This record gives sequence, C-alpha cells and structure tokens, in this order.
Amino acid sequence: MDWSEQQVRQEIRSWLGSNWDPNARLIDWRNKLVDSGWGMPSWPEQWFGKDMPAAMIPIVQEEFAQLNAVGVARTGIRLLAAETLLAHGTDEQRERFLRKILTGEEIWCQLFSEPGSGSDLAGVTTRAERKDDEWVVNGQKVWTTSAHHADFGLLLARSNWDVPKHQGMTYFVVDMRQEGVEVSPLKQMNGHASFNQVFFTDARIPLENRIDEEGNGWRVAMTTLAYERRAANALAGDSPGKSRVGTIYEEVQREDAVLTEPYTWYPQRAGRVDLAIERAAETNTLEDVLIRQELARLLMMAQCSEWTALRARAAQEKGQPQGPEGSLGKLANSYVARQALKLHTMTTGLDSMLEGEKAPMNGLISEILLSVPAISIAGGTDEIQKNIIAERVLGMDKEPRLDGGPFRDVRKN
Amino acid sequence: MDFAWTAEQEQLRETVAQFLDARCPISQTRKIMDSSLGYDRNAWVNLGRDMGLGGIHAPMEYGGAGLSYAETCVVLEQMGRALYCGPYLSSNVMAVNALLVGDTAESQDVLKGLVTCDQVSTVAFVEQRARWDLASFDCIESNGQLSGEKSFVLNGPGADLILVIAKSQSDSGFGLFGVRGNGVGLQNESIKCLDLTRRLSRLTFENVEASLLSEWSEAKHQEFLDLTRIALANEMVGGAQKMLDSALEYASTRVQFGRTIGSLQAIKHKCSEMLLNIELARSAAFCAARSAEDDSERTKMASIAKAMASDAYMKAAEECIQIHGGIGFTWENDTHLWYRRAKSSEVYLGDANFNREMYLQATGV
Repeated sequence: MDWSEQQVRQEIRSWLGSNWDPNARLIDWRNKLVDSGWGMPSWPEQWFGKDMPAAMIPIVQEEFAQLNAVGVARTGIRLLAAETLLAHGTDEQRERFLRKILTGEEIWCQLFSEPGSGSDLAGVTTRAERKDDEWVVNGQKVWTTSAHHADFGLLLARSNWDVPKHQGMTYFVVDMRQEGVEVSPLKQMNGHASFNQVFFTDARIPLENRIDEEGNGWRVAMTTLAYERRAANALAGDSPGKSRVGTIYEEVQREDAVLTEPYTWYPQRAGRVDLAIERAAETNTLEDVLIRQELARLLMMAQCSEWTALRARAAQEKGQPQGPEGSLGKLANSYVARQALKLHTMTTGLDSMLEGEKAPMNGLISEILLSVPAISIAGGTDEIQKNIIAERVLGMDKEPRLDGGPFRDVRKN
Repeated sequence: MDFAWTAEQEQLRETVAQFLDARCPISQTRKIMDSSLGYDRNAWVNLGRDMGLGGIHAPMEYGGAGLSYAETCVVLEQMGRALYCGPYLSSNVMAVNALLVGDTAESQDVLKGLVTCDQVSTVAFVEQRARWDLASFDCIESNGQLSGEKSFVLNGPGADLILVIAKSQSDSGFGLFGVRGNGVGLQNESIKCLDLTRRLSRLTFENVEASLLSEWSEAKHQEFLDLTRIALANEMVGGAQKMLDSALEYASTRVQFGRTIGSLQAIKHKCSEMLLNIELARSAAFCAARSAEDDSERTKMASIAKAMASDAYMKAAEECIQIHGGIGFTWENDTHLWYRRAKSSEVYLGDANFNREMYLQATGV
C-alpha cells in the first residue's frame, strides 16, 4: 500500500481518537496497539507493522505526541532484539517473542562483551556445545545492562573452535530465568553498579532458540550492533508540557524507573558542559584568564561538534555519501568530556578532593570527575574509534593481523 | 541555516581547484616566490577578471558577482589548499571589504578598479605595536597628508593602491584613506618573512597625499576585522586539509619494517586526530562564512572560526612534517611552505588565545 502524508495523518488521528484511553491498563492498550500496526508502523504488516516508509514515521509520532498517547515499550535493548529477530529469526521465533517485546511484558539483555574480549568482540570464548537435543553454555559475559531484570538474553557464543574466529560463533536467545545463569552486579569506579556480570554454568538453550545458521553468529551480531548505533543516534524524547493525567502514566513511570535509575550518572559521564559557566561564576573564577581560555576551548569544541553533526545530517539528507563527519561524533564527545573534566577541576580547585553530599553541588562535581573516564571506553574505545576512522574514512592500510587460522590456536587472554 | 554547501558552491569549488592545479601548482609557486613581485600577475588577472572572481560578494552595480560571502570563502579554501601566492586575499577580499564596509560614493569608484583587477590593492592598518584595535593606531592624516607607519601589510610590495586606516586630525576620528603605491613620501619596504608565499610590507609615510574614502568607526573596524578573520579561517581550513592529504599520501607509500607506515597505529591515530580537528574547524569556518552578513553573529562566528582554524592548521602542519620524518624537514620537500603559511596565519589577526577571549566576550561571558 502506498501512503500519502495526508492519509497517514488522517488514519492515525482517527484510530487514536477512537482507541486511546489514558485510563486503560497498560498491557491492554499495548496489545491493542500491537494488533493495529500503529505501534511499529515501519515494520512488515505480517509482524505488527504497516509496511510504512520511514519518512512517514515522524507524522505518526507527532500525532501520538499531540495526545501524549503511550507507545510500545522501547526501553533497554528490546528493540535491538526485535530488529535482530525480524532480520534473522524464523517465523516461529518472531511469533514467540515479538509481541511481548513490544508490550513490555518481557525484558531483554545483550550478552556480547566478555572479560577476555572487549575491543575484539569476535574473540568471545563463551562456549556453546550441542548435546543431544539442546545447547549447553559455559562462560562469562560482562557489562550487561539489565541482566538482573531480564527474561531473555541475546547471546553470542563460540560453537566451533576449529575454524577462524569470525566463522565459529553462533547466536542464541537464552532464557535468563534458569539454573545455570547467575547474574551479579558490577560495581564501577564511580560507585554505581549499572551493569552486570553473567556467569553460565551448563545453562540450557533449546534447539529452536538458535538464531540463523550455526556459525553465522558474527553476521547476526553485526545486525544488532548496527541497530544499536542507529538507536544511539536517534533518541526520541517525551513531549513535555502536555497533559499526563491518567492511570496509564503511572504504570509507564514505574516501567521507566526500573530501567533508567542505574544510569543517572550518564550525563556526568559526558562532562556536563552545561554547568561550565555557572560553575566558574559560582567559584568566582570567571575573571581568571587561564580559566577563561579553558572555558572558551570547551564551549568552542562543543559548539563545533554540534555543527559537525548537523553537517553530517545535511549531507545525508541530500543523499550524498556519508562524509567523515559522521564517524567523528563519538571521538569528539570524548574530547569534549575530557576538556569539561579539566575545567571542572580548575574551577572547583581544592574541593575536587571531596566526594558525596558535602562536596560541591551535592556530589555532582565529584561524580563528573569519576565518570568521565568511561566515555572514551564505553561503546568502543577512542583507540578503536581512531583505527576505524583511519581505515574506513581515510583509507589507510590495515594492520597485519595475528589472529587468522583456527581460533583454537589464536593467542587469548 | 542549511548545513551543506549548495550545488553551485560545490561547482565553484571544483572550477577554482582545477584552475589552481593547472596554473598555480606548487612547482610554479616555488619558482615565482623568489621573483621580485612574488606572484604571477597574469594568473591573478585570469582568476579575477576572466573568471569573474575579482569581487564575488561585491554588488553587481560595482562590477562584482553579487553573490554572498560564503562563495568568497569557497574560493579561499581552495587557495589555502593550493598555497596560492597572489594578492587575492589582500586585494579582492580585504580591500574590497574595506570599501564595502566604508560604503561611500568615493569608495565605490575605487571598488570597480579592484574587482576588475586593473589595480592591485591592500589594506594597511596594524602598526609596529602589533595590535588590532583602532585606539592603537598612531598613523595620522592632516590636511590630506598622511604621516606615520604601518606594518604587516599583506602583499604590500607591488600594490598600486594602498587603503590606509588612520587617525584623522580634523575631526579626531578615524578614516579610510586611499594612497597611491608610488606616492611621494611613501616608503614601501619589503620585509623578510617566514611565509615565503605571502609578502609583507612595512610602510613609512611622510606627508603622503591621501584621499579620504570614508569615515571609519569602531563598528566598521570590527566588521572589517571579523570579515577578514572569516576569510582567513576558510583559507586555513583548506591548507590544513592539504596537510592531512599529503600526510596520508606519504603514509600509504612509505615502507618501513616491511609494511607501509600508514598501517601503524601510531600514524593512524595521528591522522584520525588531524581529521577530527580539521572537521571541527571546517564546521566553524563554514558556519562563519554563512553568517558573515549577520551583524549580531559576526564577531562570535569570526572568533570561533579563527581560533579553531589556528590550532587545527598549525597542528596539521606539524604532524605532516612528523609523518614525513627526515624528508619532511628538508628544504626540497614542500611541507615547510605550508608550515610557514600555517604559522603566519596562526598569529595574524590574533592567535587562538586572543580569539578565544574575544569569543567569550562576544557571547557575553
């Protein structure tokens, strides 16, 4: 079906008009939404969507925002799981999992990183062995978000040690609520525990939960990661200022709170550039020439980084091939955060020695000082980022590798 | 603001790039930088008159192309890349700007001659004290005659017409004056400079006949300086990009330890950082070029563009030499010519520190 803008607006408006009820139970509303296809309009009609071109989605979002209508569940990595299943799953798998992803009834986590394979994700050594009519998993995963709430996990494991490393992995959906899966919190240097370690000891996976072919795990994982990058680039916010009267919002709030609470420090990780001028004024350092220099450096870098992102988007909209601007954003964020850390230390001075409630801004500054080191590591270190830019954007020669041949023989941690 | 160059601007960039590659390659520049004039006057006339680039942002009634400042910046970026050594920045941009900012019937008459490249001009403003503000200028006009000194005059040697920003004794204000290059009492001394492809003059005036082209105020002076900073920043981004391209080319052919040095992470990381610095500076220069006509934004945009370009170009030039290794330190290798331009441009119109402070003040901090 071809959609015109006018048609989309009319249809969603009339559907919401007769169905949206802020006092419905969340689960009932979401099931209705999923059945209608308006929850994920860009998905195939067969799978809870409307086959709508991506360009029409903002119109649907606008209409939802008009009424402050609640959408399908989006928190956590659930949509990465859904997109991965849409791309690589069987109909049976889609039938089993997609609906409850969208209604929010089942929570998901992503089991990729390991203590022994961080930057080199393809070096996973968590072992999946076929035994009779099931898979048996042993090993350890780390930096897992929400593993302690999760019902299911997206697991990348090694199923064949006799082939080169990228060819020996298989991708599974693993039931997290079973004996053999142990989840423990991972406490970070800033005191928060936002992630988990997950230990597998003879954990079981039924045969029907393998995603795509045996040995195709790396390819499937690439799909998940591509959606992860895209999601990071397009964070949709709530519509503020609209009425939120109704019992359904209380349910949504509870759902959000569980999943977002551990990440209250994320803005601090990015350096809190927004506080820079305020802090200099508060600490009477705004006249200091050295501080003014560092402040200007910070503001300029942040401003130019924003402009660079806008240039990348404009080029994309014109259909030009993505220029170097796109891949530079993450690296720029690290530099901005580090410069912000430097400035906060200069303005805060000796009080930088303090932490907690009696420390400046109720401990917010110390949280910045202790959180910024994460930004140049999480989601790909600056060094890996620079390698990627050098090889894919600048076309520089690849590093000779030492990890060819059967994975069994490759040097590991 | 639209954050991409238009198709017409891309086309202009391509045309200028082709012209400069054909007519002003670095091999040619190396020859003429030692000549008495220091540039190829024919090539400059071809660019300005025949290709119609002599006054891109000057209105059509004064012979200009009637385009925006952004187009001028597109041309300058290519000139920075090619290390163009003609008087385009000094005559077709700075002098044209001074006359446009002056905006009087007298300055319009002069403008036509510059746009057609019949005359080569430059602006003399900064003095030996090396400060940019009006209050620091001592050079003074009295009864139609100028006395005093001006220094760091871009492409001053060989200029037919010199536009001088000086005090005016009659009304104790400032004015923009026109002085003939061969005027009696004018000493035009070529200074030996670090940048071998952009000449500088030191001028001494002893009762030199000068005609008032327009009154000059703080506001006009700021506008003139801001426009020049925006122009220079765009030129510098082109130069910085050339340094990265040159480093990449060398890194992909130079073999040590049985592999290209470009396959080494130490070199890769340098190049990635250069790219980041250049793209950030490019964004600032681009936005500044688009804001040149906006009185409320110009100073802020000019200072961020100049500060970012100063750091990015200098760093790129240093790294380009470093990546070339020993050969990069030789006279025969061309890198030092861009390094010299980077260093001169870094400090001209205020270095990065100066422009950072100006940015804070322009944003009200």
